[in-house]
Amino acid sequence: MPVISDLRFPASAAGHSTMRALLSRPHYVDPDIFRREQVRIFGDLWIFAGLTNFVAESDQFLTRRIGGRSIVVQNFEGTPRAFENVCSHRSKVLQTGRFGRHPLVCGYHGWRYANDGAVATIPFASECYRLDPAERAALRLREFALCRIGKLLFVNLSESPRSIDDQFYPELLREIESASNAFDDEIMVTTVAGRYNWKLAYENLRDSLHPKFVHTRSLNLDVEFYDGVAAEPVADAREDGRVDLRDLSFGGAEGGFRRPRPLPFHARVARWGTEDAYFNWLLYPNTHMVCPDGGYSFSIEHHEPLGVDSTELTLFFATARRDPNFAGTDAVLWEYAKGAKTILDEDQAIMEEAQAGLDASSSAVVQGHFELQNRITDRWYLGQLQ
Amino acid sequence: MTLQQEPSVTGRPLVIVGHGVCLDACAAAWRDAQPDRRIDAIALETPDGFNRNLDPLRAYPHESWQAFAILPGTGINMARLKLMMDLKMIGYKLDSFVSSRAMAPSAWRPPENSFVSDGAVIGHSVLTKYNLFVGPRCVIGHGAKLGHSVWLDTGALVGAGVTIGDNVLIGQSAILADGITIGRHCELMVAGHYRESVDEKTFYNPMFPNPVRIYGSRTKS
Repeated sequence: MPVISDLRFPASAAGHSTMRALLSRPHYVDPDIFRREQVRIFGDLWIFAGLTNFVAESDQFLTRRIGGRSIVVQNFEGTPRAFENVCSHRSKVLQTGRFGRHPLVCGYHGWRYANDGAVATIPFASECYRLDPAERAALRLREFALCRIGKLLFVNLSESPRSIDDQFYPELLREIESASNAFDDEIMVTTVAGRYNWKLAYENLRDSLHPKFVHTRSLNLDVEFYDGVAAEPVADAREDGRVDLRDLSFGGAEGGFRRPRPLPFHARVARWGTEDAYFNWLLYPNTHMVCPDGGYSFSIEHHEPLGVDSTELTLFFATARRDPNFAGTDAVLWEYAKGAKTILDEDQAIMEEAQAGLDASSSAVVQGHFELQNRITDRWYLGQLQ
Repeated sequence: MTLQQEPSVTGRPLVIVGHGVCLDACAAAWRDAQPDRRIDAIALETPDGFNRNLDPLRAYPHESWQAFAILPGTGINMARLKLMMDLKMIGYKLDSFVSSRAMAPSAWRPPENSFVSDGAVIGHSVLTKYNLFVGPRCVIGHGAKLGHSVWLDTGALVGAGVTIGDNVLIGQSAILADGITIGRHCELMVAGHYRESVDEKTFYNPMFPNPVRIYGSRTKS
């Protein structure tokens, strides 16, 4: 963990503060820094990979790119496991498509893999390959640590993965476990590409002020976000100068409804909780879970960095578990997705404009008091990149 | 193939219920085709975006009136289907309309609560179910099979032998290649040529750069 020399939020005696952002232009535009992030951040932390819904049955799989690698989570007779999704023979990607149901068999020459990643069968092995038995026995896919929290699956690429408790506080894990266990089996999924650095998305999500300006005709009409600005200057690192990784992820009820709108489907699903609130959970580094209506429906936004200024957003939408006789979830999810996309488009336009500004300018960014959470996150990030 | 010269006329007055521009357009077409029939159009309020307040229908007793339900095709036609079912529960006999400027085989009869607009062409051996909407200048190829609550927007072309599931919206100028299958609960609202079959619960919409798909226990992989 990094040792921080500049410990405290710089505040004047009058309580006013102005501070230069810790991250500068290169952190958003420099390919070398992007490559270091892929190793030091995405190669070290637990990264959301998908939902258990997609690997619930034998031979079901999901694929993701994490830290620049293609990963497959494959169900082997009831047990999901995570492997590098690249054949040991000719390096062809094994499973294609985001989700599906297919044994872990390469489509090029039919190599089939067992649940420990070892090569189980090679067609025409003795006639055509004549591999040394010891070499063949050593052929196996690299396996990665896989952790399930409720219906959320996390993968860690590190050879000695940290405990997930070191990344997220137990209370947060319990809450996302509880909320995700309320998801229905039907999940709506799509992807959206954006021309912005992945960090801008989370700086925006941690910014409690932006809905008043960016979402004036959408989210801000419906949700009154609670005041996220601390009254007193707050330390942005602990007394010993360290930032706790767990402080980077947080969430819960973040707003109330300006105009409650009970919808017909509410009566047909098993509501999660009882609090009439807008819930947000940010799971560092790149996952955002939302419950916008007090426990009736949910969405997950997962930002996959493709390049220094290129991010692919995967969107998952779910209602709470539905009455089995209710056939209307498809229409409900579709209308929810269209509403959410309106808000996302507003955010994405801002992020792409911010990226364009970073591309074109070298001037430093200024942070205000309300952006303390971004500053804390940036401190940990900089230490991790060293 | 014959020109449909005789729109359905039952003698009973008709109340067209729903919402939006399509309500006015359907009423205008119906009045133009059947000038001697009393045809009222009433917009029904919705408290929640799905259910409709049916109180205004008290002035139109089902014993003496026929009804027709029309709503914009959003939400994969679920709201229109719900309204149609509500009318049937009350006891209304539901009428259908085929424009005199549409073409269909003489043996083809429009299913319950259906509307076929000007310039539409319906091929031979086409199977259709209730709550169908066929927009202006749509073509449904020979042997196509359509589920219930299918909505074909203006100029949609359905190839020969195409199968379309229940609750499907086909957008303006979409072209479905011969023989493909569109699963149930789909929206294909991006104009263009759909050359391959589309899995159920898949949505193509200009708001989204990529298809949106529902996966789940009732969805095949």
